[in-house]
Amino acid sequence: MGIKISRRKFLQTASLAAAALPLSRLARAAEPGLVKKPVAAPGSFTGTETRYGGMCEMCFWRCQLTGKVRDGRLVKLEGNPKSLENGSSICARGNAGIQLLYDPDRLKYPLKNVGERGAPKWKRISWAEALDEAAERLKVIQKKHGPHSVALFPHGASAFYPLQYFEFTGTPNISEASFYQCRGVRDMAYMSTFGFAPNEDVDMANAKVIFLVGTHLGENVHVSHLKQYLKGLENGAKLVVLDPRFSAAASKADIWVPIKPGTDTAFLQAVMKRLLDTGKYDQEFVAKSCTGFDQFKEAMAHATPEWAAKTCDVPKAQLLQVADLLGANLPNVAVHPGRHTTWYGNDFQRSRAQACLTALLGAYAVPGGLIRPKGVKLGAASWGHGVFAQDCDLSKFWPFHPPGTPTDAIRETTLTAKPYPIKAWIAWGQNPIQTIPDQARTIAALKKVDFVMVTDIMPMDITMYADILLPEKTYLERYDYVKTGMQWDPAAKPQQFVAARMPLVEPLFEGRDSVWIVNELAKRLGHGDKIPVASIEEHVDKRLAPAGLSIAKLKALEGIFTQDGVSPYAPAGKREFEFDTESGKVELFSEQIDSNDFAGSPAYVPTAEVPAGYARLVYGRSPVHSFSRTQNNIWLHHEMPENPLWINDRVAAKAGLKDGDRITMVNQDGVKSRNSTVLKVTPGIRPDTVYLAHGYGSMNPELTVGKDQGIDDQSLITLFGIDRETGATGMRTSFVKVVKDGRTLEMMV
Amino acid sequence: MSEAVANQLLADVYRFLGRSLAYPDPAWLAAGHLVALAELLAELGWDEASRELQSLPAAPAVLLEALCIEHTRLFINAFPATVAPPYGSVHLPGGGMLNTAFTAKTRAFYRRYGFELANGADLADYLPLELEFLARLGEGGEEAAREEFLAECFRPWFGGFLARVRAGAELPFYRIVVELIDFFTKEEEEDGY
Amino acid sequence: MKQYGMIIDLEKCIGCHACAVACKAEWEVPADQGRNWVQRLGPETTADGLASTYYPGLCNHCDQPACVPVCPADPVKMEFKDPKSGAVKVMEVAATWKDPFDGTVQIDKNRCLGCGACAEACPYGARYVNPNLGEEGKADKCSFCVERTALGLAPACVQTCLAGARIFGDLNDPDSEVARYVKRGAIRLESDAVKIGPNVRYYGKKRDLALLVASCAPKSMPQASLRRIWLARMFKPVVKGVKKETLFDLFG
Repeated sequence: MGIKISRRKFLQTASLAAAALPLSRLARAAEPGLVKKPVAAPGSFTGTETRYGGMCEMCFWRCQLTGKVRDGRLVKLEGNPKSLENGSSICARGNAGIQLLYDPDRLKYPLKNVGERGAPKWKRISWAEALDEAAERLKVIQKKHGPHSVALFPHGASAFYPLQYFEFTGTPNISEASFYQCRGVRDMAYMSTFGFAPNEDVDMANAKVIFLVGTHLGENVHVSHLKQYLKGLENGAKLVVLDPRFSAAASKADIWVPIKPGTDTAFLQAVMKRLLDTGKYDQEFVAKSCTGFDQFKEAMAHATPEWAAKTCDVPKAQLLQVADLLGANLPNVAVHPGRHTTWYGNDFQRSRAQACLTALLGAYAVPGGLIRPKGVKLGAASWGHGVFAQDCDLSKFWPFHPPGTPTDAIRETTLTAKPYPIKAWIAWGQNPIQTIPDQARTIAALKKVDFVMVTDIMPMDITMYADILLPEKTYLERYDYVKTGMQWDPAAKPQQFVAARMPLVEPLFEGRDSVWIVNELAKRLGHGDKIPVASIEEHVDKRLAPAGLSIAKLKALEGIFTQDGVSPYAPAGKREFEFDTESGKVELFSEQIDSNDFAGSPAYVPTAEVPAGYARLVYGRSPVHSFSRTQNNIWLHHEMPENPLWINDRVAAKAGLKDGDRITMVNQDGVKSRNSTVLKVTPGIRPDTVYLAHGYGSMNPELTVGKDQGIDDQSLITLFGIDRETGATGMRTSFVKVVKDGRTLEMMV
Repeated sequence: MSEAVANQLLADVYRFLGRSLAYPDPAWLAAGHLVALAELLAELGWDEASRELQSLPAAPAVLLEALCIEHTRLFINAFPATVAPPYGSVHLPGGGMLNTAFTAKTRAFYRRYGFELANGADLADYLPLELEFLARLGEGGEEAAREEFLAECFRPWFGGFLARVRAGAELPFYRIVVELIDFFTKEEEEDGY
Repeated sequence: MKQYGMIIDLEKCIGCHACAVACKAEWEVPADQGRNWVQRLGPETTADGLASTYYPGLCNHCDQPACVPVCPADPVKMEFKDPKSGAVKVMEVAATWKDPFDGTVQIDKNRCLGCGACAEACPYGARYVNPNLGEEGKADKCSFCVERTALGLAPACVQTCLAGARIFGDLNDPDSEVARYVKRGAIRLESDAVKIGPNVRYYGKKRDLALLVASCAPKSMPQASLRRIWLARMFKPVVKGVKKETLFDLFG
């Protein structure tokens, strides 16, 4: 544009009073507070205020934090020294929380998509407009198709309240990735065996043997859990790791079993048979506290070491060595229940086998065993139970399904409208594009429904499909979760704690907390009179009340209340326990499972073999990421910018591939990876398997840092299993070939 | 025109331009904001910009919708990418983060001249806040401070922001406003042109 | 006299990178740089079997630091004081030096010219130029968090380490934990060509240490560019001895 007169000239001559609109956002302060800034960074410990009450949500472990705040700006997060769990330590992700808080790509205001799903055109709207529109569209759908036509995909602490609300409105179609694509299988298997969900409450710190079935501690980082693991190792615990890959845990192991993927249950059966054959099991515990021993023993009878060695492709001697090591150290054996356990669609039986092995070793309520930590009793404040219309429960085909409805059932019902239409999808802190396999079907379902609403704090692959996109406060700006538990080392002086998440800084932009959002929606949907709490603060106070606590009291206690606790160990010699199962005993054989036409004692169900020329795609965790959630974090990105594909060195040599090569992949259905990654050639993985960390390769270009970095394993998982007992999604069932310079290479030795 | 009047005029311009970057609402349109902008362009002789401004939709509702979408796309969240978040720290080399030490430095500058962020105000290096601060300095006759602020806290990032708005704007409105901000904040050339 | 040092216990380290990120926050290190770092090594075959470990690296605060003598800043007399004994020592130092009482290598950011010669000279790549400091950037590196330890705080990386794999202390104190690790065989990361007395040491399984040394010990001493040093001397703000005219003598 042509500039005709200079600024000076303009200022000298022009008169423009009409254009000046007064708008004062700055108020005079009493004292200027400025000192000359030194050249060097001052360090987080100078000129900062320490704020207590933070609780991490970079993952679900929820370490307790303090924040170093300089002039309202959070400059550093540290572990709360008062924490009985993490103490002053936090992991890389915890340390990087600041980069989430101050990420320029954050969702800042309610947005309406005036473009298309998948290629959104965003328009900032007010909260009132957003809530009015969301409520109106949900109301129409609920009225026409029933409340069960709304599906919810929740995740994280802030999603509890929305989950309860939508259940209250009458939809069973709620699917948590943390259950159906993660730990649901394990929880249900242990429920069927021990009568409780195990979490990861296994006393590694005081074990003589730690037995990890695929669990890759070290790549899988949760602070207090890793402290337990490392203390166990320091105390001389033997570490046994089953993993097709020389994982972080395998590199610390006394015995690494490079097992053929999918055969773990066969291995566990053979171990249990060996213990039975040699009498090296806790006979007293089994006699007094278990049921179904005879049927169990019969079910294990076929599992000879020869059969298992062949099935699992491991040396027989190694299998026996593992069994004998476990037997020699009973009951102080930590059989880790795992966490992400949805692998092949045969996983309920494997988790059952882990639970039965735990029982056989008598490894319950003893040092090193499965324990039940006791925290402080907390209160509740929730929406009442929902009433579901008859026959709308899609989960009935999976009698041992975890709470909610199997994800795939919701997606297929959405696509087919059978047995009834599902017309609205709501994602609350979950990214179903990357949690559910076969992304094309997920996207088809998202495009088919009448309404998509997403609540999150960052753009995610799912947010591209929202009609209404709502910003939440980050975990550093809000109240929500209340946590209780005990000291990290079960053998230490028994203590209990209560901590509540409290904001460390003033919120930025227009993020809101989930209680506020849900209440506002509820009012508009005619449930205003049923609202259980007026605010998140009231919710937290109600949770705290039975412990004699409140937000105010916890604040005075630097965020954490502690008191004397209860040892998780039973009195020495006690071998008789009552469990919350049908029989009141540990069920080595379950009548309930058997009567549903499944194997009543752990059975090995083979998974499909790897087709010639392919390798099985196996995925796991990166220690610096919580899957796709943290991909845009610039500090974490710097630590591990992409997810190298691990490939066996002999397979690579045969295919002409070298360490550091840039590659893509194609799967058995011809689906290609969207992005490329770097190849890691190593002897530390089986030839039939390739591996990468999950969560990379986000497709949403709104992620300035994280988009297209590394390969999204989920984009290649189009062949997947559905666990017959639980409906959970088995995802280590797809096969790939590596592609380099346009050439698709055979994966063979 | 006296120096004081010139300062006041410049302050009004800064305020006006800052207000132009606020999220558009009907009241703002009704208050004749676009007319004032057109007057300013006419005074400056920015004919092409004036013509571009004329090309905006005339119907208030249509115009408002278009400006809302453009504002969101440029400054808030957008697919495939937010064009230019209006926060200084984001545009510095090695930036990519909100609320950095640079933001703190900006805030400290405000304080040095007796200003504090009001309750609920955005981050200190939010462009409209900086314009407001420049206005306040001008009104207070703190011309040297205004120049120092521009040199230390404003120009280091504004060029990057300007380039992104120039490249990414679809409607002329915000591009013109940002060009005007550039015009009124860049270093005066010696020859008085 | 003390010699501060750090032990990295690779038996404990789980490669979580918390140390690297905590340091970033503590010292406002640019996102694409690091005062310390973690690299994953292996799995690779070693003489003692398959090995996989980590290289958590940082400034070694060497006995004969390569970075100190190359600093082109004008030397000044600087007084050092031993906080314990009260002893005082005056040394002539450029903008970086090795502290005579605690053995750490430090930088005076006010006098640093930001030329990067020290970063070039370090065989461990432990220094970088932080463009956000000063007008033209300043050299930066791990200070062993002496600013924190002076207040009784642990170094930021040590504090956050969930594994207790980073142990900080005085190597000259035979009763210190770090000295005990040295007795138990903690090694220096060095090679025949590079032996400048690094005071970060690594402890671990034989196979892991073999992998660490094979992949990460520096193979040669880098040379700081003389041109860079000259240029820095030309353009530094207040120069004693060398005047601006010299620029033309040299390059004109």
